[in-house]
Formats: sequence, structure tokens, C-alpha cells
Amino acid sequence: MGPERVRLEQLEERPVASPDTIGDILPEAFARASTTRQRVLALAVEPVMATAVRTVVRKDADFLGELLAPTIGAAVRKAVSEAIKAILQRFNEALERSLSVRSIRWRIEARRTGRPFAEVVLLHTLVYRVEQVFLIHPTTGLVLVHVADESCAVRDPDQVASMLEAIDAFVREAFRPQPPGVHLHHVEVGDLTVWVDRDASLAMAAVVRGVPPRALGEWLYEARQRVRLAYQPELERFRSDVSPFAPARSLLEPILRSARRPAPRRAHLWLMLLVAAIASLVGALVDRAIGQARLLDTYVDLLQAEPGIIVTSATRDGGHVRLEGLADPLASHPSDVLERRGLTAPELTFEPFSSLDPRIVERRAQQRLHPPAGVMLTLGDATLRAAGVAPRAWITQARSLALAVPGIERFDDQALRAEEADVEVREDVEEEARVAALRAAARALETTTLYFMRGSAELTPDAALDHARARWHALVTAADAAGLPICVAIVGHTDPTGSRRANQALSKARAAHVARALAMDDARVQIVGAGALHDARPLHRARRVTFWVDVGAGCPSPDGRRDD
Amino acid sequence: MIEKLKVCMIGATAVGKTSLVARFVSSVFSERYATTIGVRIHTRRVALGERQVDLIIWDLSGEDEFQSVQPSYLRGASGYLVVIDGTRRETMDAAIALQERVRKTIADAPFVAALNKTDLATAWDLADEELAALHGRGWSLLPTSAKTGEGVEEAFDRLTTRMLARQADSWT
Ligand SMILES: Nc1nc2c(ncn2[C@@H]2O[C@H](COP(=O)(O)OP(=O)(O)OP(=O)(O)O)[C@@H](O)[C@H]2O)c(=O)[nH]1
Ligand SMILES: [Mg+2]
Repeated sequence: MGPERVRLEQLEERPVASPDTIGDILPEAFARASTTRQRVLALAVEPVMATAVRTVVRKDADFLGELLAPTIGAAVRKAVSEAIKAILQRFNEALERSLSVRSIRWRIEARRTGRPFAEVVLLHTLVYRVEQVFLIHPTTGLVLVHVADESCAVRDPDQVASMLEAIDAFVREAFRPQPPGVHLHHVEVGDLTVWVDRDASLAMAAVVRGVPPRALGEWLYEARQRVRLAYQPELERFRSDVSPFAPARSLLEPILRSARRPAPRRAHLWLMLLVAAIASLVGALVDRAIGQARLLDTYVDLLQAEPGIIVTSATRDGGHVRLEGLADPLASHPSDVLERRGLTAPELTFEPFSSLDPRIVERRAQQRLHPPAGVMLTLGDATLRAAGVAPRAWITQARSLALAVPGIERFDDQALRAEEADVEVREDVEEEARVAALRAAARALETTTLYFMRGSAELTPDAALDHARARWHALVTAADAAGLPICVAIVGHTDPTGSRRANQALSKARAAHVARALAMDDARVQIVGAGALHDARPLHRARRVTFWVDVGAGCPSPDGRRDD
Repeated sequence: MIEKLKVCMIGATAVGKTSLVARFVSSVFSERYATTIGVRIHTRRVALGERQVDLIIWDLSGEDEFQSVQPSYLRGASGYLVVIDGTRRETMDAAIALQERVRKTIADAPFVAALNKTDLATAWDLADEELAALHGRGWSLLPTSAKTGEGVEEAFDRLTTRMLARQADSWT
């Protein structure tokens, strides 16, 4: 028993589980357990962790706030600003539709072209819209996947893709560009651009209406890489069956994006007030939640987000905060920016500078050019676009002034019209109404039919001659009011009995009779003998005279008459 | 399952390539001749038994002294239709020369030869011995008329069948 006893005593003296020994093995134990018994370890540790967190919260809530604020603050701010942007956009559209001069013009355009008004508005305010994306197998030119914005009319995608490949092959062979591996990169037609991104195994093409965004190339490139990664084996095997690529739609669809022009000024004014109110309210809430620890960052974020303001340094010395930087004279004043959000401004030292932020450049252009009420200025890609109606003198002046504004490289006044044109717009509306009245009068006469006695140029006793006369007079009045020439063809018919020749003569005699009976003015009338009518039921309905009215063109001269 | 196949139309000028495509794709014919410049593309879906195939038809400009068939248009084609104008002997020689060259670009793609304008029987310019010689070269000949529609569907059908058969071969 002797030796055993000694060992037992030794063990009692030096406990196995001393803090030191456990400390030595604990990290390793965790590491091993987390690979071999991960779930069990997590379960075991969870209650301890939970208690620890609770203790921390109770003791020092600010610490936790500081940990979480960066993520929560940013998320809330982003969500709010997105929501506000959306509200702004909707308000603006509503106003835009009901108020502006432009909207009247668009209404006219909608009526002329037969497009729905909403679509016309959409097309005019569109900056760009990616309408179609093709995934193309390069050697064959076959379309593997095609997605399209549902609002646009799409032509056979295979035809389009093959034609693109053919054009690519053609230009490469005809012009032999250097280096030899380069391909057709984009094609521009009017306001459409076809953008191609490719390598030897896969090509992507996007059809964009408007000004393609700079990131478009990247979107295509990225999507193409993803498709390639996901479908490498299918691509290598591809011969004719495109169905394995169908799920790649989901990689292409995100590229079907669009952007619209910023809303017009007028709407901005009071909506900005509303937005400012919401923003300051939300800002105050957010800021309180964020707490003092994040205040400095908040200042910086807010100011940086403001166009025309650059923060170069932010320091905190105890409770004293100091911000320095540059501010364009046209930017909001930094202290206003902060106060708008319910923050008291710290010490601010901002030097003036000339910002090239597009929003400031736009403001600068507004200030230097003083656009009259009917003109809207927008800026994109260093190009100032003027749209609307303005006095001629202003337009001439604007052309030279615009290019002197820092940040503006080009001036586009294609959508600008001289003042006289404004009168035209109003006249357009009235003229449109007069033309509509004329068309209605024309249609009324065209629906009038006069019937004849059998085998003669004598009208039936109940023929609607007075009716026809009234409509003829109404038509003449409407044509004179609209100042448009008209030509009324008086078309005579007979029933199919009798010889062709006799019917021809009789039909013409009937037409001539109507012209005389209505005392119609020669220059606007054309007598047409159309011969027998074969498909009239019952038969007597074929013995008739009808009217065809051409609006906008006079009758042909007598030698070129259609009444053969 | 939707399959797509690229098909090329080749032959001398004015033999009726465009007319055959127009007949096949939209069932129309016109006497008017407008020469094809470069290439025009048309598509038509055909059903072969269980299989649905979209034919993407590249109608190339014909060869003459001014322009020759661009090899890059042929790349990736699964098959082609060689068109001969039966009323002009020389278009047969042109077809043989062209086919030799096409074979260099798309080596094992199947093809069908259309002897077009059969409706113009009185002006027929091909002797039976000559046709027999073509048969001897292994050509699959089919009389067609873009005007009456004779043989047109059959020519494309035959070509499609061959293209699909060729694919089946190369799978095994
Ligand atoms: N009678 C008759 N005329 C045909 C037929 N096919 C084509 N044509 C006529 O032949 C002329 C040429 O036809 P296209 O189809 O344009 O010929 P193509 O081979 O496309 O000519 P290129 O494009 O110049 O190479 C046209 O006037 C056609 O109307 C046919 O089957 N019968
Ligand atoms: Mg042709």
C-alpha cells in the first residue's frame, strides 16, 4: 500500500485542474471542439454568452449602442432617404402631368402618335432604359437566353443576335481593326445603343434606349462572368439545345434597369420643404438613437452627402467638435445642412471653392443663365440640356454663356424652341380641335347613302337628300374653319343586272345627279362611276351613291381624275 | 427542349436563295429581283417528329465578279443549302467551286443542293449526265421552285434531318 499512498498524497497536493493548466489547454480545446463538435459547443456556450451580453447591456448600454450604431444608423438613413426619393418622384410626376407646358405638348404628341399619354411622358423623362439583354453563343450567333422589358416591342431575338454577329464579322473583315482580337463594341442608332460584351466563349448584348449608364459595361461583364462560371460545362457541350441555359435568365434580368430625369424645378420648391421637415424629424430620431459617440461621423456623413461640400478634417477635443473643409457658394451652408437635421452646428470653417458636382453645376447654370419660366435645364455627362420655349435672344445668349460655366462642356438645345413656337403650341391645340371637327364632319357625310330607282338616275322618294345636304354644308364650313383642302368623291353604283357598259354610265349619271341636286362646288367634288356592286344584299341596296371624303388634299386636276 | 441551328444559303447570284428563304419562311414569292448585299437573317421553327428546331437562316449574297462569300459568315453553321439555277448551267459550276471552299470553313456540315426554278421547264439548261455526275460526288439533289413552292419544304426538311443526324453521330 505504501507507494500508492504516496501517489495519492501527491495528487492531492497538486490538483490536475488548476486555472493555469486549464488556461493552457482552453484555446486548443475550443478549436478542436469547434471543428469536431461544433453544434454541441455552440449549445454549451450559448447560455454563458447570453448572460454576458445581458450583463454588459445592463452595466454600459452606451457601449452596445456604439457597437451597433454604425450599421443601424446607416441602414435607417438609407431606407428613409430611399423612401423620400420615391415620394418625391411620385409627387413630381403627378404635378408634372397636370401642370406644365410640356405636358400639354406631350398630350398632343400622345394624340398624334396614338400612344398612351403615360408612355409619352415616360419616353420624354427617360434617361436610359435597358430594354433587352441577349446571351449569345459567339461562333453560331445563336441566342442562349433573351430577356426584355415588357413595355417594349421585341423583334425575333435570334434574328437580331445573328445580325449582330454578322455585322461584327463584316466590320472585322472589311476594316481589319487592330489588335486582331477586337470586336464590335457598340452600335448607335438614334436614341438606341446596342452594347456588346464578349469573349471567345460567350457574348452579351444589351439594347439601351437613351444615354447608356457608365456602369453598363460592368453589369454585362459581371453577368457574363457569372454565367460562364455557372454554365462552363454546358457551354462546352453546346450544339443546338438551348434549354439548359433557361435558368440564366435570373442573371440577366437585373440588367433590365432604367433611370429617369430628375423632377422639374417647380415641384422641388415646396416638396423640398416637406422633405426637409420629414428629414429633420427622422434625423432627430436617428441622431438621438445613435448617441453622442457617433455624432462626429454623423456630421461628416451629412455634410459629405450634400452636393458642393467637402469635409477635409473633423476633430473632437473633449466635447468640442471642429469641422473644416470646402464649400461651393451655391451649396447649402454647412450649418444649415446640420440644423435642417435638428443638429446644433459645431465649429465650422469652410473655404469657398468651385464644385464640379453635377447638382451644383446645374445650380450654377441656373444662376448664370437665368432661364425663363418655360425652360428646363438638366445636366448629364457634362452636357447642359435646355428644353422648352424661350425668347430668341435668350437662346443666343445661353449658347455662349453655358460653355463659360465651370463644369459644363457641351450645350444641347435641340429640345429648345424660340418664343414664336410657344404661340404655335397654343394654336396647335385649337387647330387640333378644328381638324378633329373636320374629320367628324367628313365621317358624317361618309356614312350617308342615297338610294336610286331601278335602272334610272332618279332618287327613291324617301332618299335622305336633305340629310346629305346638311352634312355637305357642315363639312364645307368645317374645312374652311380648319383651312384645309378637301375632296369629296361622289361614288355611284348600280346593281349587277345589265351590261357592264350601261352600268358604268348609269353609276356615273347617279353620282352626277347627286352633285347637281346638292349644288356641290365643282372644285371640291369628284364624280366617280364605280359600275355594278356585286355583293350588296338585298339587291336594291346596290343602286346607290356614297361619299368618300379626303381631308388635307384637294381633288386631282380634271386630267388626272379617278373617275374613269 | 428547344434547339437552334444556324443554316447558310449559298450559290451564285440570282439563283433564288432569297426567294427560297422567303417562300420557306413567309410563303411568298416575287418576280422582282433585289440582290442581297451582305447577309439577311430569317428564322423559322420546324418540327421533326418530337423535336422542335428553330432554323436561323443566313441568306448570304451570291458570288459574282464583285463579291465573294465571306468565310466568317459561315462559321458556326450546322448545315447549308447550295442553290443552283437550273436555267443557267454556269451556276452549277459556281456551286461546285463554292462548295469546295465552304467545306474548308465548316468541314463536316451536311448540305443539300437545290436545283431551283424548275417551273421554267422550257428554259432548262442542265443535262441528266451532269446531274448524275453531281450524284456521283455524293451530292443530295432536289428540284425546287421558289415560285410554285415545289420541293422547298422538303429541301429544308432534308437538311434539318441531316443536321440532327450529324449531331447524334458526334455524340456517340
Ligand atoms: N421562275 C422562277 N423565278 C425565280 C425562282 N426563284 C427565284 N426566282 C427569280 O430569280 C431572281 C433572283 O432571285 P433571288 O432570290 O433574289 O436570288 P438570290 O440568289 O438571292 O440573288 P443574290 O442575293 O443576288 O445572290 C428573282 O427575280 C426571282 O423572282 C423560281 O423558283 N422560279
Ligand atoms: Mg439574295
